[in-house]
Amino acid sequence: MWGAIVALLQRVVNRKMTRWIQPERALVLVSVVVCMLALLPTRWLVPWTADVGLILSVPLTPLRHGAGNMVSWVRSPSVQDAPTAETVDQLIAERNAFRGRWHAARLEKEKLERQLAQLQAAQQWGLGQEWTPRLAQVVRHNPGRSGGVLSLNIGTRQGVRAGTVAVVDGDRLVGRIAPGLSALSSVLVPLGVGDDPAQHDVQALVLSPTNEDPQQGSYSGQPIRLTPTAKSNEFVGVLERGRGVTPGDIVRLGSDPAWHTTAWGMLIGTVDRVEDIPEQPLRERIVVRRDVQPNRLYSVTLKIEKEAGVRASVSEEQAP
Amino acid sequence: MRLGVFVIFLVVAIVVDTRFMEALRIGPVIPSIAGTLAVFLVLSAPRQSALWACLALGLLLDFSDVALFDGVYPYHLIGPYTLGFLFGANLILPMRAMVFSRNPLTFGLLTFFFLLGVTIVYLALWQVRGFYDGSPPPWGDGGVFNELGRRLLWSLYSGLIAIPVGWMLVRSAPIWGFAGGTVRR
Repeated sequence: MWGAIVALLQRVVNRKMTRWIQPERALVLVSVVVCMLALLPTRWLVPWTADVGLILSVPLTPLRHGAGNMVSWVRSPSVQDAPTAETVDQLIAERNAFRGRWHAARLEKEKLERQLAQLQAAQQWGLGQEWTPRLAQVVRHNPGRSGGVLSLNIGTRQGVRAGTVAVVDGDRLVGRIAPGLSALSSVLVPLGVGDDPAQHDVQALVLSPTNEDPQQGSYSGQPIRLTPTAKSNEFVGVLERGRGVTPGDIVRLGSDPAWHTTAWGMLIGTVDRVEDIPEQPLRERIVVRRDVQPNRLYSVTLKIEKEAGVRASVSEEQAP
Repeated sequence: MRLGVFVIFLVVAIVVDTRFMEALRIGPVIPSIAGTLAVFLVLSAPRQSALWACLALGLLLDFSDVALFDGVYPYHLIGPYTLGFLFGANLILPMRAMVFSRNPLTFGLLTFFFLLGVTIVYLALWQVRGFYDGSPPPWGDGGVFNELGRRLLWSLYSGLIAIPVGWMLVRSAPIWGFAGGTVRR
């Protein structure tokens, strides 16, 4: 009984389907669809027709390339028509456009080369520690009340942690990551900036330019405690007179426990001037100019630590 | 009609039309052999096969023409050649019982008429679409009548090219495997 009903239904459906799905009707249907497509607003065609055309052109492109070679063989340039003024104008416009692109590409190449050099230099200054350099773009400078912190485009997902050290050009210390970072962004507090009291003073080493050997990662210099000055790019410290510090000496971060070991030995700046202190005749004031201007940075290199507790090989003499 | 043979001829016709025919350019006029292939199929293949083949030819030609929206965004308009080839095929279909389909001169004449039909649909469709913002017709400021004149020359030139091309297509007829339903003279 049921079998007979199903067979009857199948026969009816088949007859209806075959009546509907006929080549003639399908052609009419396709023609109607093409008519509708032909009259669609252009903005509806733009998102997908170029892609479909691209896919369809994939098998044709090599053949067209061969045909193009045949055209140039059949019709040599000397036989081709002379370009019209309109064509020349168009060619000039295209040339200018491509020239602009070329300059843009060259600048992009230079930027990539700078980034590569930055990463290589950072690796060179690694002092044998386990860390990975990672470039971060500065997405915003915040010159407000917070004192010039930088917003970066990477966060905990890329291994960044609170205290991760940021440098540029391999060894120029910029600052460190502030606590409370998110998965995809972080805030970089430049050296000498911020409300954290531990960050105000830094333990540094003053080295004469001939006294440092970056390849060996070992320094012997004058330890000094530097204090950032308000609203300037300078740090000030005090040393006993006669230590031989002169303007132009290199100042690097010492083994400051407030900073992660990956920051130790990084360049802070150079000695700008050495001043007398009238009330302390046996001492002199060392003014250090910071080497990096954080508010002009486009990108920084973060030293992502692989494991904590690795010590840098920095040797210090006794503090004054 | 063998589908594989049609696909090979279709690809060759599209490649030759969109690239190689530049070698035969006279001024702004570049001939076409896709129209000749369409005429050959209309004269030789069953009605339904011929119409589907013309639709496929037109569709690929539409996807070979790139237009710019707002002068920046590339897109393909589906219709001018697709509908034009269908229209042209319907113009030729009633004539196929009245012509010598193996005569190369027939191809020349019918290709001219076929491409005239394509031209009418092509110009009409683009002219209508000119009302949309940002999608001017491909002839730009040249005017539709200038384009009509150029397309008349295109049809004429393609008709001339169709004579040798049609002769070769007739020679290739055995490999197409056409059913014997159509009149052959």
